[in-house]
Amino acid sequence: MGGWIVTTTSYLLRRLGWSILVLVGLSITIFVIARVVPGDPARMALGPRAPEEVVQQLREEMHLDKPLYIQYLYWIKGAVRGDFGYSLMTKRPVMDDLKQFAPNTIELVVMAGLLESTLGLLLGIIGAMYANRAIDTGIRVMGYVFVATPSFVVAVFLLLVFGFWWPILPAIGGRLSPSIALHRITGFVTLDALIQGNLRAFGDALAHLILPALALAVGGMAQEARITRASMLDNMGKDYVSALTSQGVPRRVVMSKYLLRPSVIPTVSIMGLDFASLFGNAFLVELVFTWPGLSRYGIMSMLRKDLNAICAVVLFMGLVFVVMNLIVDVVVSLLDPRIRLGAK
Amino acid sequence: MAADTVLEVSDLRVSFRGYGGKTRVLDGVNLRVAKGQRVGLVGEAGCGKTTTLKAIMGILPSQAVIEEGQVLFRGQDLLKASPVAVQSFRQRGAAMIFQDPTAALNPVFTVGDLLQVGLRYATDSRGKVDRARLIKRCTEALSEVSLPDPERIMKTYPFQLSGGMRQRVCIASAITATREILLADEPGTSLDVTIQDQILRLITGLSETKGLAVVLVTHSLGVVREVTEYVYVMYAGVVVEGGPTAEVFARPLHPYTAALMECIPRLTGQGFAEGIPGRLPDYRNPPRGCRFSPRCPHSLKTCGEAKPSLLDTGGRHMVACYLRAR
Amino acid sequence: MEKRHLFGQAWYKFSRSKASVVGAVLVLLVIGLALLAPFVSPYPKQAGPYVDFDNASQPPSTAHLLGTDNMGRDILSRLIFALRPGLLMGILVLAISVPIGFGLGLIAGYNRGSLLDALIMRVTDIFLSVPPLILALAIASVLEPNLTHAMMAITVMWWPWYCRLAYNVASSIKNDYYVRYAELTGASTFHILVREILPNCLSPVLTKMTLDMGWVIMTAASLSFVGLGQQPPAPDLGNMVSDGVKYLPDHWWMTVFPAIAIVLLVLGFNLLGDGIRDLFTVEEA
Repeated sequence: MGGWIVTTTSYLLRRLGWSILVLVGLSITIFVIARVVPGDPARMALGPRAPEEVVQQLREEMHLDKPLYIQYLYWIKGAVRGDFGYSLMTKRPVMDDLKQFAPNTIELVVMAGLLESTLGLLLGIIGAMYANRAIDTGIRVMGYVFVATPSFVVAVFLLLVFGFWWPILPAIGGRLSPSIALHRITGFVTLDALIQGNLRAFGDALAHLILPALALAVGGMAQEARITRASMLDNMGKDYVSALTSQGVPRRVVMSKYLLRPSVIPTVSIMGLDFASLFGNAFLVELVFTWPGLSRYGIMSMLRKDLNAICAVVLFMGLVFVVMNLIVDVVVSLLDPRIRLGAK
Repeated sequence: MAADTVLEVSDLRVSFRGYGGKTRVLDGVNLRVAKGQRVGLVGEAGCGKTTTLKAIMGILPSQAVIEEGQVLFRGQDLLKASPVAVQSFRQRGAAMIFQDPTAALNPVFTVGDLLQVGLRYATDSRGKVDRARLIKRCTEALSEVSLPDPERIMKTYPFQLSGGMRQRVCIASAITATREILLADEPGTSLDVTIQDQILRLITGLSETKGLAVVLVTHSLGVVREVTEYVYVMYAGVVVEGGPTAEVFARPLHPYTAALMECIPRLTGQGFAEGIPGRLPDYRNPPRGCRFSPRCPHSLKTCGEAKPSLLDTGGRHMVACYLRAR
Repeated sequence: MEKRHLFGQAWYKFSRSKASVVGAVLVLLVIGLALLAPFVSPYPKQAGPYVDFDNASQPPSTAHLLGTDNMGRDILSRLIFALRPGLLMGILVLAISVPIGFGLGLIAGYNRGSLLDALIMRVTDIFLSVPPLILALAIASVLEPNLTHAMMAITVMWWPWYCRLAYNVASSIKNDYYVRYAELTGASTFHILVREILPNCLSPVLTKMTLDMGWVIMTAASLSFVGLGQQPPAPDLGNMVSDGVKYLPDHWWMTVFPAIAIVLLVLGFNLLGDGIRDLFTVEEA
């Protein structure tokens, strides 16, 4: 057991060091891109009517007269402390914006991730077990269609069906129904509701969460179902499966335990990547459902060229992505001993 | 069926469905294994030896079609038996060890896990499971196959073991429960010759101490000679000859067997033989009569028209050939 | 087996899967429609700047099979013309990102362990570490929103995948005997890369390229949904959907039909890509 801890830790430390390097590279990239934009950030911040001296003063404050790498260092120093500068759009520190909007997106993405992984795995397993029969064909067709459907299309359809034609779930209207007031503690609405024992708010929050989460999850769910099914079918023909069958182990035991574990490894591996794309697609869903989340904030800041906000959002998403991948790596190494024990 | 026969395969014909029609992989396999007997099934690569073993165990892939034949265990035809009976056969009748031990062991489970699950269902699958007893028996099995430090090995993963050790683990899984037959598909072929030798000795030893009958599939005549008492020769999906090992080596009856014996390099004499001219038949469009006839130096007209059956020429030496059998 | 037999076998394998054939048919249909757009659409003029408020927001009818939009334009015609920028995006993005990414990956993989390898692959990793869409959005937003810039943004985010793919294959086979043999007999690096290593990367690359056509189209639609791609009044699948969202639920046809078109388009390429992948899969006996 001790050996396991040591090797896993060293593996994780390597991954961690690597991730930090990548984040640094990302920060440099996005910073350079943002600063290369034609236009004067200081002028844009103050508007066309501000007097020149004030703009010049702002320029010096923002270090715009210094070389690029110095500007980068100032930015990084601030970023590490949590100071990303001011947003042109909301006229307040970007950090405050992050604190307000990020939790909503995280809730959305986590819920979507949960739906995606559980349903995806389940459907994939069912498909493999009843391969080529009616259920499987149905699942596969659905899978093909959903994979081909961009999340904004799913969002629009869900909106149409459940928002208008058959309004059983709240569609537009942000995070909570206006009639419900909730004291914010963590910033995560569902958590806050639970902590305070406010079940009505909790239920309302969940109800608002389901449609957008579903829209986000559908593409990834279909993809995971396909990969799980393919992986299971692939491994079904392997010798180590027929070896157990040849020893008289009942088929359902072979299929459920001994086929499943090696087969879900590819699925879990892509979950990390999928999670990243969830973040990316979240903005589309947030737009359609007017969800007050970070991705929508990010898109708005991109459309309005709010550079501080853009940099902060991209960096934040990169961070989350990196953390998610680390978590996925840990889980995969738990499932597949070959990775954590360093087999060739 | 003779009293001490434990397994009999009778006129087995198996095809596979695929592009271009059916591939007739097995076209007349006959063999008989007596209690505690070590029987060899020898033939070149691709002649259907592994398919025969898989047919016996009932683990052929889904595109396989059993055209004809019987696999008799204790008088019951496994090919037509109920799933429960087949499962019972796998648990207490026979076990198979596969050609590649690495592929045969589930990579994400420990050796202990894999051994236990096999044993668990082979003994009392209903009711409560006595874990400690299972572990004890499995550990014992590991030491029976001469693996050092069995307790530690129970906790390791297959990829952490060497090829020879993995092969021993596979053999251990076959003997955890008490069975009558061991089907061994080219054991040790993928390993070092010295390791292969150890494995074969292990199998021979187990056969003698436990009274385990063995069907040893191999392409090596040397192995057959060392290990088996009785041997069947296969060509292109057909068993063409069968007899006591020493007898078949001394007096091969079938032209194919004779040619094989010729190919064995000798220390004295004219050096290497030339090999057998011609090629294996196309399994999708096999010859109507004897499958060896296109290459046979002695073929008669009848050979090309109808398939010869396996007939006894006395002394339990059988051959499927119009030339030899009357 | 001769060439004719190989093709026959490939076709047998391919046609066994009805899905792949459906995909191939869809793709061919779409390409055909896009190429022949001016001749095939019922009201080609309405695909451009055109206004007819008398006919605005009409539901599907015999005159206008898919209805008209808020400016009175025939949706079916606009859809057919919208296929053009969609397909064009896919082709151009792949035409640029695949050779670049692939080339870089081959070079890096072949020179595995060297500084060149480290440099190329670390840059690739950075690009791969960002949620793909975010990067494309960031770039597209920084520039003027139009089709070309959207295409550039998507290309930038696309090439790393091919680089990684080529790298994996190249580095794994570079020590195989036939490559070493070529080196020993004095073959130039170029020859080795193109004649020995490249053919082995072909099957995953072809599959990925076909599948990617669908993904690129989807990404482009997402970008233009947000307003960062093709600008109106030129018809584009994404902006047709976003225009129509404002008129839900009453004039649902304005959103629903372009949305279905996107799905069918991507679906066609996905099915085709799967079929191609199955072709290259060698089934074990």
